[in-house]
Amino acid sequence: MSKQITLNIDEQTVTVPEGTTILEAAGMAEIEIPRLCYFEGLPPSGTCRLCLVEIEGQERLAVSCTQRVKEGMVVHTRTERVSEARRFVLELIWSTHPGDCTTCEKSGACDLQRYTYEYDVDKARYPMYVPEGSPGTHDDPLIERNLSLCILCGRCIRVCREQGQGILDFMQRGMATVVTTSLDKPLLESGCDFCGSCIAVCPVGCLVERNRKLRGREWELEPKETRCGLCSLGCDLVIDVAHGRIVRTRPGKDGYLCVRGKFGWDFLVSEDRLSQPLVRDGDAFRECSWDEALNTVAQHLAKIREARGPDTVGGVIGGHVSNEAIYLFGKLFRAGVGTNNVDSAAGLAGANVAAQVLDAFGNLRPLSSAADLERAKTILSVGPELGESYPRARLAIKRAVGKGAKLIVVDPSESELARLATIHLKPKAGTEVVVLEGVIRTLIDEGLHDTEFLSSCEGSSEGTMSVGSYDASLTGIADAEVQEAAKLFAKGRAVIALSDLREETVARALALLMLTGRSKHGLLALFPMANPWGAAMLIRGDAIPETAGLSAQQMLDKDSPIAALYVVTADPVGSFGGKDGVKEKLSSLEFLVVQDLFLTKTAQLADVVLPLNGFLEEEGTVFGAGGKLLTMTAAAPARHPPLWQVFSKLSERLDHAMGYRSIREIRTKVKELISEGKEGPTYRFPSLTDKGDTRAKGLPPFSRFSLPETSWSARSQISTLTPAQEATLDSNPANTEEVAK
Amino acid sequence: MADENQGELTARLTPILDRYEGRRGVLVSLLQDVQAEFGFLEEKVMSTVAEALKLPLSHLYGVTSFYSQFYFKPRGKHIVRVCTGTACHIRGAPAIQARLEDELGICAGETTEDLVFTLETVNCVGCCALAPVVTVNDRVLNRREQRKLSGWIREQRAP
Ligand code: SF4
Ligand code: SF4
Ligand code: FES
Ligand code: FES
Repeated sequence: MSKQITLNIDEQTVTVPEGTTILEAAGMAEIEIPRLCYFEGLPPSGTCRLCLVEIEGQERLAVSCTQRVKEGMVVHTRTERVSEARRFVLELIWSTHPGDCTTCEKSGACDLQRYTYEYDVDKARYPMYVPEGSPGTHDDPLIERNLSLCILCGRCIRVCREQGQGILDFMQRGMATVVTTSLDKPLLESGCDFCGSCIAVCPVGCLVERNRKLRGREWELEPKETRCGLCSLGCDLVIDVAHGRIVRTRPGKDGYLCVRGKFGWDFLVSEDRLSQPLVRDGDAFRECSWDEALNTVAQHLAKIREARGPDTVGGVIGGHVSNEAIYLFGKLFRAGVGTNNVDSAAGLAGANVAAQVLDAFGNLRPLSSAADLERAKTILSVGPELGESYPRARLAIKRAVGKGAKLIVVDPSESELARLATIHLKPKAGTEVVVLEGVIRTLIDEGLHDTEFLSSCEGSSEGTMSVGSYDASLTGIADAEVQEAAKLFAKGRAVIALSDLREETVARALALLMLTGRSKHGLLALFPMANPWGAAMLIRGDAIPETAGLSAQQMLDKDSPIAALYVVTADPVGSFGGKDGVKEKLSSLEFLVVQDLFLTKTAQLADVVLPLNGFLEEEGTVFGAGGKLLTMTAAAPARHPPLWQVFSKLSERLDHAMGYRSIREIRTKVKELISEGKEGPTYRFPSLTDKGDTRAKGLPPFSRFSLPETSWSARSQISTLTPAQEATLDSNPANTEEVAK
Repeated sequence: MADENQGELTARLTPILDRYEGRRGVLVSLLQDVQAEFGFLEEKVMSTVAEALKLPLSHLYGVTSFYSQFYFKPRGKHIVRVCTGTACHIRGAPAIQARLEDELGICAGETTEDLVFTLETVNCVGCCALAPVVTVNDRVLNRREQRKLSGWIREQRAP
């Protein structure tokens, strides 16, 4: 424990660790010292001078956000002299500040407004000074910069360095000083990745979300804590709602949201969302009541089951929904319809990671969270531009590297992570698998593998786990480099971050974990959905019918026996269009029900379309990236009946009452199921024989994942994107929220 | 310059970067040397330096834009400055500035397209007795030279 220091602040005795600043020490004693440039968690800069305090025996006022405590110090934070000094600071700032508080979005939550009120600052004392050529509003998408409101506190500069792209700084000097990008270029041309961290720290109205404008005043906002559901990391998120509408999101405890969490939920407030159930009426749809829609669905499913048997009915559900919904969906088919034809849609995109992990390790313990990644000593990142697609993972890796972690990047491109890497293995596109095999080969050849752990794995005899010798001509990476990477990987607490989710790649990643005896928190698989693990864990739970069910892929095969299909939050047509006759199969079905946020391409083929609540609108649990059960609260008002009720009602109409009265009851059942699967670990070494033709096969569509198109209510705003930016922001085929044109 | 490929650029930067290798608090001197080598701080040069020093590009611009001695656009062969300090202002600097802007076809702070002239204003050169002061390439022009300035400008421009 570090040395403790005792001092006196405003007649209170305070004991704090050595190295604490006066401002922080005061905070611990619940004495708030006014501050503008200081922001908790960022390095202090001591530039605004609002935090001045008086220290006995020291003539000059002290800058409390940078000055550290000393034994026996006597500090006064509220003397007349201090107030006078603060008032002076505020008057100077106020004399260059437009002060249009009536229309400023920040009004009510603005620190300058608060302090000028508290210190009774007189606007007229200094004449308003607006320097010539004052910077105005910048024309950036998503983030509005009203530079005339900037008070030069520099918080945004520091936060952008810490967790953004480090693109801001003070430019020019004197009265002309502005906080902006290099050469004052637009954000889009400066490498900004629109995390919005700068907005979160700006004390005034200079930096605000464009999409929050006119949606509600600060004092009308009702904050609710939940989690982001736009990728499998599930970051903490606070949403502010006013007048029943989402105004904006903010980072939660973690202090960071990526562009998706910060802006990507915008599709939820899109005008194009389905508002009513639709039933087919010839070539068109007609709106109908929920009752009518559910009756129609139940009648058709029952009829087809009657005529052709239960195994001609099937269901596919995406990874965007809660465990409770997934479980009930499974149950609707197994118990309600009487078939095992029910599967998660993740496999459709070529990713079966969850099933592979369960098969190899028997549980979800090998999964790592972003926090585990931050603590790792060795990181192996596999996937093209993983950092660009998953900025939260990139931040974790940056932080780990900052703390001395070694980073091995397998990426054909010169991505951001590649630049941070200790070793960047740059294979020819598609040959990542060969590189990983090279690493496996080295581990075995050099005796770096954990024979003890391996002996507890099925199928780990030398014969089955060995891979051929490494062929540098395939990948373009020299043996020596691969060997060096392998030696690095063998050491320390390691996490493999994966966005390349091809079955072959995952198998090799799992093999690497097993070879080095890492059975816990070693795999961070990144998906563009909230709950990929839930789908795999629960969809096949407590199977009742005897015959094994078809996988999503098999159901969509043009020769499959399926005649009626219920697809929830997945868009196979939009995602895989003409491929493998998916569209033909779906068009030729006798009956198709699609439940989604939008009228997707798949929904357009449906006989009944049911609307859906979005990820912020429905409560439930999901499996977080680290395999833990996380709770999502319904933060925004629901628009439709929750999924569990829809599935229950359908099941009832199919003469199987599920008997759940609340989502809580389902949660209890889900927890039971999960703990059942938790008996002693059984390890099975993944098969490395199937390589597929990796070069021809390509990556699953969400290896490089981007935002759904509809999240940009103001699409025109970003029509000036560079191609690279387009690639990140553009519609993601694997995301189901895509609106059909 | 614009066509200069990354390889050549790196080759020209390397000796400068090597000179300062491992030293701290030398950013301004280093950038002065870079400017001396390239004439001005082109974006490509700046980003290469930023990458080499592992500093955010914005930081380099933050530092350099603080000082008026750094230039981000190409500069002319001859730098003509009009003093606009108080003494010179009173003694007719605005008219001189207007005349030069006219003759050169550029505004103060700009460079002619043929890269022969850059016109700038300064705040007091420190020889107010000679007001109004004009300097060419840091040399204060005397009265006679000032009268001949227009002719000299035309001469420099003739091919
Ligand atoms: S949005 Fe993020 S990356 Fe862009 S300027 Fe703000 S903090 Fe920096
Ligand atoms: S934009 Fe906001 S956060 Fe950045 S320096 Fe200006 S006032 Fe501070
Ligand atoms: S808060 Fe201490 S100087 Fe700004
Ligand atoms: S004012 Fe021009 S030299 Fe002083």
